[in-house]
Amino acid sequence: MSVLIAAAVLGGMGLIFGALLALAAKKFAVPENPTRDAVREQLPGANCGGCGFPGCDGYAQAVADGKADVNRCPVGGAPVAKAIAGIMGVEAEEKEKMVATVRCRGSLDKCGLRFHYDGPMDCKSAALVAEGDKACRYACLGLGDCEKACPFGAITVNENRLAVVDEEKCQGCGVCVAACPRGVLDMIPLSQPVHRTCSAMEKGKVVRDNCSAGCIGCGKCERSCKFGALKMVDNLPHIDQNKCVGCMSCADNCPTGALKSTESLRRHALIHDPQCTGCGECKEACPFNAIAGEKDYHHSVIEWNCTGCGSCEKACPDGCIEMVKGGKYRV
Amino acid sequence: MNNLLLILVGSIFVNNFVLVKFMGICPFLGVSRKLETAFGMGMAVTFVMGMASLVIYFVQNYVLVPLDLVYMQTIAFIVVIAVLVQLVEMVLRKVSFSLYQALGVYLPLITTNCAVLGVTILNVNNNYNLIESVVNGVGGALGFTLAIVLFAGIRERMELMDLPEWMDGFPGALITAGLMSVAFLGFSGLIH
Repeated sequence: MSVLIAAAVLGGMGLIFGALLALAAKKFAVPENPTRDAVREQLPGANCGGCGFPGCDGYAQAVADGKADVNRCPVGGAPVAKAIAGIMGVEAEEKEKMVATVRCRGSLDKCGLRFHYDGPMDCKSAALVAEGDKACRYACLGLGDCEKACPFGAITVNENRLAVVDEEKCQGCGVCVAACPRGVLDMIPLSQPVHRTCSAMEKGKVVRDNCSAGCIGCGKCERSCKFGALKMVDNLPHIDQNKCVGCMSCADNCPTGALKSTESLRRHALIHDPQCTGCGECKEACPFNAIAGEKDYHHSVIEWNCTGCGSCEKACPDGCIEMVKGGKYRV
Repeated sequence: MNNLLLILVGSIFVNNFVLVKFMGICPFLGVSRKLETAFGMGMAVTFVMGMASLVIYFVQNYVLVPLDLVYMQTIAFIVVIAVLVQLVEMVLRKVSFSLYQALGVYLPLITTNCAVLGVTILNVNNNYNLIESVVNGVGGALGFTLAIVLFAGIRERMELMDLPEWMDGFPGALITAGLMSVAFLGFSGLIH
Protein backbone atom coordinates (compact mmCIF):
# COMPACT_ATOMS: atom_id res chain seq x y z
CA MET A 1 0.00 0.00 0.00
CA SER A 2 2.71 2.44 1.03
CA VAL A 3 4.49 1.69 -2.23
CA LEU A 4 1.39 2.78 -4.11
CA ILE A 5 1.16 5.99 -2.10
CA ALA A 6 4.80 6.74 -2.82
CA ALA A 7 4.32 6.13 -6.53
CA ALA A 8 1.18 8.25 -6.59
CA VAL A 9 2.84 11.13 -4.75
CA LEU A 10 5.88 11.14 -7.00
CA GLY A 11 3.68 10.75 -10.06
CA GLY A 12 1.56 13.66 -8.90
CA MET A 13 4.61 15.81 -8.34
CA GLY A 14 5.83 14.88 -11.80
CA LEU A 15 2.51 15.86 -13.34
CA ILE A 16 2.34 19.22 -11.58
CA PHE A 17 5.93 20.08 -12.44
CA GLY A 18 5.41 18.89 -16.00
CA ALA A 19 2.43 21.18 -16.41
CA LEU A 20 4.44 24.08 -14.95
CA LEU A 21 7.29 23.41 -17.37
CA ALA A 22 4.90 23.23 -20.31
CA LEU A 23 3.53 26.65 -19.34
CA ALA A 24 7.03 28.06 -18.96
CA ALA A 25 8.06 26.64 -22.33
CA LYS A 26 5.18 28.52 -23.95
CA LYS A 27 6.09 31.74 -22.20
CA PHE A 28 9.82 31.57 -22.93
CA ALA A 29 9.60 30.09 -26.41
CA VAL A 30 12.40 31.27 -28.69
CA PRO A 31 11.34 31.71 -32.28
CA GLU A 32 13.43 29.33 -34.38
CA ASN A 33 14.40 30.16 -37.91
CA PRO A 34 13.91 27.03 -40.05
CA THR A 35 15.98 28.49 -42.89
CA ARG A 36 18.93 28.95 -40.59
CA ASP A 37 18.76 25.37 -39.39
CA ALA A 38 18.52 24.09 -42.96
CA VAL A 39 21.56 26.15 -43.97
CA ARG A 40 23.47 25.07 -40.87
CA GLU A 41 22.71 21.46 -41.79
CA GLN A 42 24.59 21.88 -45.09
CA LEU A 43 27.70 23.45 -43.56
CA PRO A 44 30.62 21.20 -42.63
CA GLY A 45 30.74 22.31 -39.00
CA ALA A 46 34.48 22.89 -38.91
CA ASN A 47 33.97 26.35 -37.34
CA CYS A 48 37.17 27.54 -39.00
CA GLY A 49 36.01 31.12 -39.56
CA GLY A 50 37.12 31.08 -43.20
CA CYS A 51 33.82 32.64 -44.24
CA GLY A 52 34.48 35.65 -42.04
CA PHE A 53 31.76 34.83 -39.52
CA PRO A 54 32.14 33.36 -36.04
CA GLY A 55 31.72 29.69 -36.78
CA CYS A 56 29.23 27.81 -38.92
CA ASP A 57 26.29 28.89 -36.74
CA GLY A 58 27.14 32.54 -37.25
CA TYR A 59 27.45 32.10 -41.00
CA ALA A 60 24.16 30.16 -41.21
CA GLN A 61 22.45 32.98 -39.34
CA ALA A 62 23.93 35.59 -41.66
CA VAL A 63 22.88 33.65 -44.76
CA ALA A 64 19.38 33.14 -43.43
CA ASP A 65 19.14 36.87 -42.73
CA GLY A 66 20.24 37.57 -46.28
CA LYS A 67 23.36 39.38 -45.09
CA ALA A 68 25.91 37.01 -46.62
CA ASP A 69 26.53 35.35 -49.97
CA VAL A 70 25.91 31.64 -50.21
CA ASN A 71 29.39 30.81 -51.51
CA ARG A 72 31.49 31.97 -48.57
CA CYS A 73 32.29 28.54 -47.13
CA PRO A 74 35.79 27.64 -48.38
CA VAL A 75 35.68 24.18 -46.84
CA GLY A 76 32.47 22.97 -48.42
CA GLY A 77 33.28 24.64 -51.73
CA ALA A 78 30.99 24.43 -54.72
CA PRO A 79 28.71 21.56 -53.56
CA VAL A 80 27.84 23.28 -50.30
CA ALA A 81 27.35 26.64 -52.03
CA LYS A 82 24.97 24.95 -54.43
CA ALA A 83 23.02 23.28 -51.63
CA ILE A 84 22.69 26.54 -49.71
CA ALA A 85 21.73 28.38 -52.89
CA GLY A 86 18.97 25.79 -53.32
CA ILE A 87 17.65 26.51 -49.83
CA MET A 88 17.83 30.28 -50.26
CA GLY A 89 16.49 30.17 -53.82
CA VAL A 90 19.39 32.06 -55.41
CA GLU A 91 22.07 31.22 -57.94
CA ALA A 92 25.46 30.22 -56.55
CA GLU A 93 28.45 31.83 -58.14
CA GLU A 94 31.41 29.51 -58.49
CA LYS A 95 34.15 30.54 -56.17
CA GLU A 96 37.61 29.44 -57.05
CA LYS A 97 39.22 27.00 -54.65
CA MET A 98 41.99 28.70 -52.74
CA VAL A 99 44.95 27.07 -51.12
CA ALA A 100 47.51 28.40 -48.64
CA THR A 101 51.10 28.74 -49.77
CA VAL A 102 54.30 29.52 -47.89
CA ARG A 103 56.16 32.35 -49.58
CA CYS A 104 59.51 31.26 -48.17
CA ARG A 105 61.91 28.40 -48.77
CA GLY A 106 64.38 29.43 -46.08
CA SER A 107 64.78 26.21 -44.15
CA LEU A 108 67.66 26.20 -41.67
CA ASP A 109 70.10 24.62 -44.14
CA LYS A 110 69.49 27.48 -46.59
CA CYS A 111 68.82 30.38 -44.25
CA GLY A 112 70.84 30.27 -41.03
CA LEU A 113 70.31 31.87 -37.64
CA ARG A 114 71.61 35.27 -36.62
CA PHE A 115 71.48 34.59 -32.88
CA HIS A 116 70.22 32.06 -30.39
CA TYR A 117 66.61 32.91 -29.58
CA ASP A 118 65.61 31.81 -26.10
CA GLY A 119 62.12 33.24 -25.58
CA PRO A 120 58.60 31.78 -25.80
CA MET A 121 58.59 29.31 -28.67
CA ASP A 122 55.98 30.89 -30.94
CA CYS A 123 56.38 33.02 -34.05
CA LYS A 124 54.59 36.09 -32.65
CA SER A 125 57.04 36.41 -29.76
CA ALA A 126 60.08 35.52 -31.84
CA ALA A 127 59.16 38.09 -34.50
CA LEU A 128 59.34 40.82 -31.85
CA VAL A 129 62.97 40.10 -30.95
CA ALA A 130 65.20 41.90 -33.48
CA GLU A 131 62.87 40.81 -36.30
CA GLY A 132 63.36 37.12 -35.60
CA ASP A 133 66.37 34.87 -35.34
CA LYS A 134 66.42 33.67 -38.97
CA ALA A 135 69.12 35.34 -41.05
CA CYS A 136 66.50 36.82 -43.40
CA ARG A 137 64.09 39.21 -41.75
CA TYR A 138 61.31 38.18 -44.12
CA ALA A 139 61.74 34.44 -43.54
CA CYS A 140 59.29 31.95 -42.11
CA LEU A 141 60.22 31.66 -38.42
CA GLY A 142 59.00 28.10 -38.31
CA LEU A 143 57.79 28.04 -34.71
CA GLY A 144 54.37 26.78 -35.66
CA ASP A 145 51.81 29.56 -35.12
CA CYS A 146 50.17 28.51 -38.40
CA GLU A 147 50.36 24.83 -37.48
CA LYS A 148 48.51 25.55 -34.25
CA ALA A 149 45.98 27.80 -35.97
CA CYS A 150 45.08 25.43 -38.82
CA PRO A 151 41.79 23.70 -37.98
CA PHE A 152 42.44 20.95 -40.52
CA GLY A 153 45.99 19.88 -39.65
CA ALA A 154 47.10 20.92 -43.12
CA ILE A 155 50.24 22.82 -42.09
CA THR A 156 53.26 21.27 -40.47
CA VAL A 157 56.57 22.83 -39.57
CA ASN A 158 59.41 20.59 -40.66
CA GLU A 159 62.57 19.89 -38.69
CA ASN A 160 64.33 22.74 -40.54
CA ARG A 161 61.87 25.30 -39.20
CA LEU A 162 59.90 25.86 -42.37
CA ALA A 163 56.12 25.63 -42.64
CA VAL A 164 54.86 23.19 -45.26
CA VAL A 165 51.28 23.18 -46.54
CA ASP A 166 49.58 19.91 -47.39
CA GLU A 167 47.49 21.01 -50.36
CA GLU A 168 45.31 17.91 -50.14
CA LYS A 169 44.23 18.78 -46.62
CA CYS A 170 44.10 22.58 -47.03
CA GLN A 171 40.52 23.82 -47.24
CA GLY A 172 41.42 27.42 -48.05
CA CYS A 173 39.94 29.02 -44.96
CA GLY A 174 42.82 31.49 -44.55
CA VAL A 175 43.11 31.18 -40.77
CA CYS A 176 46.86 30.57 -41.09
CA VAL A 177 47.38 33.78 -43.08
CA ALA A 178 45.93 35.75 -40.19
CA ALA A 179 48.00 33.80 -37.65
CA CYS A 180 51.37 34.43 -39.34
CA PRO A 181 53.10 37.51 -37.90
CA ARG A 182 55.53 37.66 -40.85
CA GLY A 183 53.00 37.71 -43.68
CA VAL A 184 54.82 34.78 -45.23
CA LEU A 185 51.63 32.80 -45.81
CA ASP A 186 49.31 33.73 -48.63
CA MET A 187 46.19 32.36 -50.28
CA ILE A 188 46.44 31.58 -53.99
CA PRO A 189 43.91 30.02 -56.35
CA LEU A 190 44.53 26.32 -56.85
CA SER A 191 44.62 26.94 -60.60
CA GLN A 192 47.47 29.45 -60.44
CA PRO A 193 50.28 28.10 -62.68
CA VAL A 194 53.25 29.89 -61.10
CA HIS A 195 53.69 31.35 -57.66
CA ARG A 196 56.46 33.13 -55.82
CA THR A 197 58.10 31.32 -52.91
CA CYS A 198 60.09 34.15 -51.40
CA SER A 199 59.13 37.29 -49.49
CA ALA A 200 62.48 39.05 -49.21
CA MET A 201 62.20 42.61 -50.50
CA GLU A 202 65.90 43.43 -50.18
CA LYS A 203 68.38 43.80 -53.03
CA GLY A 204 69.93 40.65 -54.49
CA LYS A 205 73.26 40.80 -52.67
CA VAL A 206 71.65 41.09 -49.24
CA VAL A 207 69.20 38.27 -49.95
CA ARG A 208 72.01 36.07 -51.28
CA ASP A 209 74.08 36.61 -48.16
CA ASN A 210 71.16 35.65 -45.94
CA CYS A 211 69.63 32.76 -47.79
CA SER A 212 70.63 30.51 -50.66
CA ALA A 213 67.01 29.94 -51.71
CA GLY A 214 65.82 33.54 -51.86
CA CYS A 215 64.73 35.64 -54.82
CA ILE A 216 67.66 37.85 -55.82
CA GLY A 217 65.48 40.20 -57.81
CA CYS A 218 67.42 39.72 -61.07
CA GLY A 219 64.32 40.36 -63.17
CA LYS A 220 64.97 37.50 -65.57
CA CYS A 221 61.38 36.37 -65.09
CA GLU A 222 60.05 39.81 -66.05
CA ARG A 223 62.12 39.79 -69.25
CA SER A 224 61.14 36.24 -70.13
CA CYS A 225 57.42 36.88 -69.76
CA LYS A 226 56.09 37.48 -73.26
CA PHE A 227 52.63 38.40 -72.06
CA GLY A 228 53.45 41.30 -69.75
CA ALA A 229 51.93 39.45 -66.83
CA LEU A 230 54.94 39.65 -64.53
CA LYS A 231 56.31 42.84 -62.98
CA MET A 232 59.07 43.29 -60.45
CA VAL A 233 57.87 45.23 -57.41
CA ASP A 234 60.17 45.76 -54.42
CA ASN A 235 62.68 43.27 -55.85
CA LEU A 236 60.02 40.58 -55.99
CA PRO A 237 58.06 39.23 -58.96
CA HIS A 238 54.34 39.94 -58.94
CA ILE A 239 52.13 38.01 -61.34
CA ASP A 240 48.96 39.47 -62.81
CA GLN A 241 46.68 36.47 -62.88
CA ASN A 242 44.43 38.03 -65.52
CA LYS A 243 47.31 38.29 -67.99
CA CYS A 244 49.16 35.09 -67.09
CA VAL A 245 48.55 32.33 -69.64
CA GLY A 246 50.43 29.61 -67.78
CA CYS A 247 53.46 29.20 -70.07
CA MET A 248 55.69 29.00 -66.99
CA SER A 249 58.64 30.59 -68.83
CA CYS A 250 59.28 32.75 -65.78
CA ALA A 251 59.65 29.77 -63.49
CA ASP A 252 61.74 27.89 -66.06
CA ASN A 253 64.11 30.86 -66.39
CA CYS A 254 64.38 31.59 -62.66
CA PRO A 255 68.01 31.01 -61.60
CA THR A 256 67.17 30.53 -57.91
CA GLY A 257 63.96 28.56 -58.12
CA ALA A 258 62.11 31.21 -56.14
CA LEU A 259 59.32 31.09 -58.71
CA LYS A 260 57.65 27.73 -58.50
CA SER A 261 55.51 26.23 -61.24
CA THR A 262 52.63 23.88 -60.54
CA GLU A 263 53.70 20.95 -62.69
CA SER A 264 50.23 19.41 -62.88
CA LEU A 265 49.08 22.47 -64.83
CA ARG A 266 51.82 22.29 -67.51
CA ARG A 267 50.51 21.93 -71.08
CA HIS A 268 51.74 21.72 -74.62
CA ALA A 269 50.06 22.21 -77.99
CA LEU A 270 49.01 19.39 -80.31
CA ILE A 271 47.97 19.94 -83.94
CA HIS A 272 45.41 17.50 -85.26
CA ASP A 273 46.74 16.78 -88.76
CA PRO A 274 43.60 16.03 -90.83
CA GLN A 275 41.99 19.37 -89.98
CA CYS A 276 45.12 21.49 -90.45
CA THR A 277 44.93 23.53 -93.66
CA GLY A 278 48.39 25.00 -93.30
CA CYS A 279 47.14 28.56 -93.04
CA GLY A 280 50.14 29.56 -90.94
CA GLU A 281 48.15 31.60 -88.37
CA CYS A 282 49.49 29.52 -85.50
CA LYS A 283 53.09 29.88 -86.64
CA GLU A 284 52.72 33.63 -86.67
CA ALA A 285 51.00 33.71 -83.30
CA CYS A 286 53.51 31.54 -81.46
CA PRO A 287 55.85 33.74 -79.37
CA PHE A 288 58.29 30.87 -78.81
CA ASN A 289 58.98 29.74 -82.41
CA ALA A 290 57.53 26.38 -81.51
CA ILE A 291 55.58 25.73 -84.70
CA ALA A 292 57.13 24.62 -87.97
CA GLY A 293 55.58 24.08 -91.39
CA GLU A 294 55.36 25.37 -94.92
CA LYS A 295 52.45 27.46 -96.07
CA ASP A 296 49.52 25.27 -97.22
CA TYR A 297 51.07 22.16 -95.70
CA HIS A 298 50.40 20.55 -92.36
CA HIS A 299 52.10 22.35 -89.51
CA SER A 300 53.59 20.63 -86.48
CA VAL A 301 54.70 21.61 -82.99
CA ILE A 302 58.36 21.70 -82.05
CA GLU A 303 57.76 20.22 -78.66
CA TRP A 304 60.95 21.33 -76.91
CA ASN A 305 60.13 24.92 -77.75
CA CYS A 306 56.44 24.75 -76.87
CA THR A 307 55.62 26.22 -73.45
CA GLY A 308 51.89 25.60 -73.59
CA CYS A 309 50.94 29.28 -73.61
CA GLY A 310 47.93 28.57 -75.82
CA SER A 311 48.44 31.49 -78.24
CA CYS A 312 48.22 29.13 -81.23
CA GLU A 313 45.02 27.57 -79.97
CA LYS A 314 43.41 31.01 -79.95
CA ALA A 315 44.84 31.89 -83.37
CA CYS A 316 43.81 28.73 -85.23
CA PRO A 317 40.72 29.44 -87.37
CA ASP A 318 39.83 25.76 -87.81
CA GLY A 319 40.00 24.68 -84.18
CA CYS A 320 42.51 21.93 -84.87
CA ILE A 321 44.92 22.78 -82.06
CA GLU A 322 44.37 21.19 -78.68
CA MET A 323 46.22 21.96 -75.46
CA VAL A 324 47.35 18.68 -73.91
CA LYS A 325 48.39 18.11 -70.32
CA GLY A 326 52.07 17.80 -69.54
CA GLY A 327 55.19 19.36 -71.05
CA LYS A 328 57.02 16.85 -73.20
CA TYR A 329 60.57 18.13 -73.10
CA ARG A 330 60.35 20.55 -70.20
CA VAL A 331 60.40 19.48 -66.62
CA MET B 1 18.82 37.69 12.71
CA ASN B 2 22.20 36.86 14.19
CA ASN B 3 21.54 33.23 13.42
CA LEU B 4 20.79 34.00 9.75
CA LEU B 5 24.01 35.99 9.41
CA LEU B 6 25.96 33.09 10.87
CA ILE B 7 24.38 30.68 8.39
CA LEU B 8 25.13 33.03 5.50
CA VAL B 9 28.80 33.60 6.40
CA GLY B 10 29.14 29.93 7.27
CA SER B 11 27.85 28.71 3.93
CA ILE B 12 29.83 31.23 1.87
CA PHE B 13 33.22 31.02 3.55
CA VAL B 14 33.56 28.44 6.30
CA ASN B 15 31.72 25.56 4.67
CA ASN B 16 32.30 26.65 1.09
CA PHE B 17 30.74 23.95 -1.03
CA VAL B 18 33.50 23.68 -3.59
CA LEU B 19 36.65 24.38 -1.65
CA VAL B 20 35.83 22.88 1.75
CA LYS B 21 33.13 20.30 1.13
CA PHE B 22 34.33 19.36 -2.37
CA MET B 23 30.86 19.41 -3.92
CA GLY B 24 30.11 20.65 -7.44
CA ILE B 25 33.67 20.16 -8.70
CA CYS B 26 32.46 19.28 -12.20
CA PRO B 27 31.26 22.75 -13.29
CA PHE B 28 33.96 24.30 -11.09
CA LEU B 29 36.58 22.85 -13.45
CA GLY B 30 34.41 22.75 -16.55
CA VAL B 31 33.25 26.33 -16.96
CA SER B 32 36.03 28.22 -15.19
CA ARG B 33 37.98 28.95 -18.36
CA LYS B 34 36.48 32.41 -18.77
CA LEU B 35 35.43 34.88 -16.10
CA GLU B 36 32.21 35.74 -17.89
CA THR B 37 30.87 32.20 -18.23
CA ALA B 38 32.01 31.39 -14.70
CA PHE B 39 29.93 34.26 -13.37
CA GLY B 40 26.96 33.20 -15.50
CA MET B 41 27.25 29.67 -14.17
CA GLY B 42 27.44 31.02 -10.64
CA MET B 43 24.25 33.03 -11.14
CA ALA B 44 22.43 30.03 -12.66
CA VAL B 45 23.47 27.85 -9.73
CA THR B 46 22.44 30.59 -7.29
CA PHE B 47 18.97 30.68 -8.77
CA VAL B 48 18.63 26.90 -8.78
CA MET B 49 19.95 26.46 -5.23
CA GLY B 50 17.85 29.26 -3.80
CA MET B 51 14.66 28.08 -5.46
CA ALA B 52 15.44 24.44 -4.69
CA SER B 53 15.85 25.26 -0.99
CA LEU B 54 12.51 27.07 -1.05
CA VAL B 55 10.51 24.44 -2.94
CA ILE B 56 12.10 21.49 -1.21
CA TYR B 57 11.25 22.93 2.20
CA PHE B 58 7.57 22.65 1.25
CA VAL B 59 7.99 19.26 -0.40
CA GLN B 60 9.76 17.89 2.66
CA ASN B 61 7.49 19.32 5.34
CA TYR B 62 4.10 19.21 3.65
CA VAL B 63 4.41 16.15 1.40
CA LEU B 64 7.12 13.74 2.44
CA VAL B 65 6.93 13.95 6.25
CA PRO B 66 3.11 13.78 6.63
CA LEU B 67 2.92 10.86 4.21
CA ASP B 68 5.84 9.00 5.83
CA LEU B 69 7.78 9.10 2.59
CA VAL B 70 11.07 10.51 3.87
CA TYR B 71 12.88 7.53 2.35
CA MET B 72 11.91 8.95 -1.08
CA GLN B 73 13.85 12.14 -0.26
CA THR B 74 16.59 11.76 -2.88
CA ILE B 75 14.28 11.04 -5.82
CA ALA B 76 11.80 13.75 -4.89
CA PHE B 77 14.57 16.34 -4.46
CA ILE B 78 16.19 15.42 -7.77
CA VAL B 79 12.83 15.85 -9.53
CA VAL B 80 12.44 19.34 -8.08
CA ILE B 81 16.00 20.30 -9.01
CA ALA B 82 15.58 18.95 -12.55
CA VAL B 83 12.46 21.05 -13.04
CA LEU B 84 14.23 24.18 -11.83
CA VAL B 85 17.21 23.54 -14.10
CA GLN B 86 14.90 23.11 -17.07
CA LEU B 87 13.32 26.43 -16.17
CA VAL B 88 16.70 28.16 -15.96
CA GLU B 89 17.65 26.68 -19.32
CA MET B 90 14.51 28.03 -20.99
CA VAL B 91 14.92 31.46 -19.50
CA LEU B 92 18.61 31.68 -20.37
CA ARG B 93 17.96 30.59 -23.94
CA LYS B 94 15.46 33.39 -24.24
CA VAL B 95 17.41 36.07 -22.40
CA SER B 96 21.06 35.42 -23.31
CA PHE B 97 21.66 32.96 -26.11
CA SER B 98 25.42 33.49 -26.04
CA LEU B 99 25.65 32.59 -22.36
CA TYR B 100 23.41 29.59 -23.05
CA GLN B 101 25.87 28.45 -25.71
CA ALA B 102 28.92 29.16 -23.58
CA LEU B 103 27.60 27.13 -20.65
CA GLY B 104 26.75 24.31 -23.04
CA VAL B 105 26.36 20.90 -21.46
CA TYR B 106 27.19 22.22 -17.98
CA LEU B 107 23.84 23.94 -17.77
CA PRO B 108 21.69 20.78 -17.76
CA LEU B 109 24.42 19.21 -15.66
CA ILE B 110 23.42 21.49 -12.75
CA THR B 111 20.78 18.82 -12.22
CA THR B 112 23.45 16.42 -11.11
CA ASN B 113 25.54 19.08 -9.38
CA CYS B 114 25.88 17.49 -5.95
CA ALA B 115 26.16 20.92 -4.34
CA VAL B 116 22.48 21.52 -5.13
CA LEU B 117 21.29 18.20 -3.75
CA GLY B 118 23.78 18.60 -0.91
CA VAL B 119 22.42 21.95 0.25
CA THR B 120 18.82 20.68 0.32
CA ILE B 121 19.71 17.57 2.31
CA LEU B 122 21.82 19.67 4.71
CA ASN B 123 18.81 21.97 5.22
CA VAL B 124 16.68 18.97 6.16
CA ASN B 125 19.32 17.39 8.40
CA ASN B 126 19.96 20.67 10.26
CA ASN B 127 16.21 21.22 10.76
CA TYR B 128 16.37 24.70 9.25
CA ASN B 129 13.10 26.62 8.97
CA LEU B 130 11.97 28.18 5.68
CA ILE B 131 14.04 31.38 5.87
CA GLU B 132 17.10 29.61 7.19
CA SER B 133 16.87 27.07 4.33
CA VAL B 134 16.72 29.75 1.67
CA VAL B 135 19.56 31.74 3.26
CA ASN B 136 21.67 28.59 3.45
CA GLY B 137 20.86 27.76 -0.17
CA VAL B 138 21.64 31.21 -1.52
CA GLY B 139 24.71 31.50 0.71
CA GLY B 140 26.05 28.18 -0.48
CA ALA B 141 25.49 29.18 -4.09
CA LEU B 142 27.20 32.53 -3.52
CA GLY B 143 30.10 30.60 -2.04
CA PHE B 144 30.14 28.48 -5.20
CA THR B 145 30.06 31.64 -7.34
CA LEU B 146 32.86 33.19 -5.30
CA ALA B 147 35.03 30.10 -5.69
CA ILE B 148 34.42 29.64 -9.42
CA VAL B 149 34.88 33.35 -10.24
CA LEU B 150 38.13 33.55 -8.27
CA PHE B 151 39.29 30.35 -9.93
CA ALA B 152 38.36 31.58 -13.40
CA GLY B 153 40.29 34.82 -12.79
CA ILE B 154 43.38 32.84 -11.84
CA ARG B 155 42.98 30.46 -14.79
CA GLU B 156 42.64 33.35 -17.24
CA ARG B 157 46.00 34.62 -16.08
CA MET B 158 47.52 31.16 -16.11
CA GLU B 159 46.61 30.87 -19.81
CA LEU B 160 49.19 33.57 -20.50
CA MET B 161 51.89 32.08 -18.31
CA ASP B 162 54.79 30.09 -19.67
CA LEU B 163 54.17 26.89 -17.72
CA PRO B 164 56.15 23.69 -18.23
CA GLU B 165 54.26 21.31 -20.47
CA TRP B 166 53.29 18.89 -17.70
CA MET B 167 51.71 21.75 -15.75
CA ASP B 168 49.83 23.31 -18.65
CA GLY B 169 46.04 23.05 -18.60
CA PHE B 170 44.30 20.78 -16.11
CA PRO B 171 47.26 19.77 -13.91
CA GLY B 172 47.97 23.41 -13.16
CA ALA B 173 44.27 24.11 -12.65
CA LEU B 174 43.90 21.24 -10.20
CA ILE B 175 46.94 22.34 -8.20
CA THR B 176 45.52 25.88 -8.14
CA ALA B 177 42.20 24.52 -6.87
CA GLY B 178 44.07 22.62 -4.15
CA LEU B 179 45.90 25.76 -3.04
CA MET B 180 42.64 27.72 -2.99
CA SER B 181 41.14 24.99 -0.84
CA VAL B 182 44.05 25.29 1.61
CA ALA B 183 43.53 29.07 1.68
CA PHE B 184 39.82 28.67 2.47
CA LEU B 185 40.66 26.40 5.39
CA GLY B 186 41.82 29.62 7.03
CA PHE B 187 38.14 30.51 7.58
CA SER B 188 37.50 27.34 9.55
CA GLY B 189 37.96 28.93 12.98
CA LEU B 190 35.48 31.72 12.21
CA ILE B 191 32.34 29.96 13.41
CA HIS B 192 31.92 27.13 15.87
